[in-house]
Amino acid sequence: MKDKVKILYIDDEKQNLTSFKANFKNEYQVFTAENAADGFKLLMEHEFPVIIADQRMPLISGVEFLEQTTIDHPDSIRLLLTGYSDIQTVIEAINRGQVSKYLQKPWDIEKLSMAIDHCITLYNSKAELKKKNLELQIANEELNKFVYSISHDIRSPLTSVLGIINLTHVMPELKEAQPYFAMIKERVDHLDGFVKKLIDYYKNSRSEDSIELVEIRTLLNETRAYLHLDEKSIDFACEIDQQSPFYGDPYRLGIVFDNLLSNSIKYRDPEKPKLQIELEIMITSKKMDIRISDNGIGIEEKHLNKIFNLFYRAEDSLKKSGSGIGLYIVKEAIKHMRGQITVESKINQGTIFNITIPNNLKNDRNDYHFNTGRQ
Amino acid sequence: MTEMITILILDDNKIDLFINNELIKHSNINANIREFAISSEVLEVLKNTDLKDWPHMILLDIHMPVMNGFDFLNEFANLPKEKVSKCKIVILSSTLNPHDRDLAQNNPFVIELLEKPLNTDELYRILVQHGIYKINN
Repeated sequence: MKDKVKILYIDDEKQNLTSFKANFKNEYQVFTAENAADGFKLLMEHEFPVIIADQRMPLISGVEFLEQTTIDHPDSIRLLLTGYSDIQTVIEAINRGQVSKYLQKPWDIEKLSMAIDHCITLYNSKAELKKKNLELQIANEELNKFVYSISHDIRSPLTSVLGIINLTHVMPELKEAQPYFAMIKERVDHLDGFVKKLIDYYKNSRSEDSIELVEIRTLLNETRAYLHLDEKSIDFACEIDQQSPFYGDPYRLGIVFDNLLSNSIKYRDPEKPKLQIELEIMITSKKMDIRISDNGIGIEEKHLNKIFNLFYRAEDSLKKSGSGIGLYIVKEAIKHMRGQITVESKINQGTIFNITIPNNLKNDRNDYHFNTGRQ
Repeated sequence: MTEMITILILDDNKIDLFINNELIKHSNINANIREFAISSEVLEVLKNTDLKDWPHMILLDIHMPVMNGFDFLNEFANLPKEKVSKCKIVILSSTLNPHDRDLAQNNPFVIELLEKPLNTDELYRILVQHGIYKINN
């Protein structure tokens, strides 16, 4: 049989304690105390799901007693018994969260029994929630470990292969085999890139939004370096009009820039001598507008409304080594930031992405930075 | 010719040890390379090495059985100060785990985290930047 729930009742009137005990001893394990000192002594020895106190006691009020029990027994549910005249104190105590319930005196058994039942249900559901949260947290940590160790174990042999291919570059006797190594490298790079994208997807869908001051120029310089945007065959023009500091999620913004700019490079038009990418950014205290345009191969109109779908690939893109996951991650990242993305494109002319992301700047920050930025 | 330096490579994967050794050999880095596959062996060897023979740099893998890269660094920290300060650590890994990156960034001995495969131009830059490799004009 399940253990009976332990209840502590403190009241300076002995008669109340006796009658309480008589009424509830069959249902619960009842402990009673005539004063606060005895009450605290019992609290040191037992964990009580429900603590009941009378408001009017000589040395300490019921609210004061219950308030003190919150420190060492945060999970217990507290019930106060009181008369009408103390109603203001009770309201305050309930609002401060120290007392969950009150019952008017003199109490009748049925109402008190219902109140105790309710307290126990509350206690149990709180305990259950706590347990579930803990389990969830452990499951999350294990999933993290699992995902990162799998991604490492997939990538590790790939990086070995890439290392061996790098080694062949310095071996003159392997010169003739270079075209084959180049093909191996392309396929391995593709798989490696895919694993990285999957991790991006995982991180984007699970990590919490982090809002911090974004140094947009620093972020773009990282992207530039990562994508080797400064190659001779690329004209990269970047114009930033920053009228306000921008507060947002730098990690997700990085995902957006990395993916859109690497798409521009991947789907460049080989007929044109130079790939031209124009990036225009305007930041106000309300939002950031981003416009990325290129002179690439473009996207046919019939594909335009599907390109943000997971694993969707337009048939003209099939010769390229895409995986159909990049734009989906971009869309999801923007959704997380409560922004919007639209696309326009003309085949053989190029593609334009327009993005708007709200600025999470708070008003007090606004004035300060805005003024110092415009001295 | 610049002065010869000593680089110690610790990686549980023998093929990666071979690749990294060869890549450095064929680069413009003039180094004497020592390869190890087991962390505890490196600690043992370092304990019994005189200061003048200490490596200038350790290329350290993270994911290794028994004693991983970060466990190794914890033990490394207990070695004599003057020896430890002579040796810079560069982590070389294919991890995507942000937690590994944080640990690497917050470790006082780690000067950089490089992604596999090893890019010897990057390694050369780091050696020069941290004054391990002095170029005579």
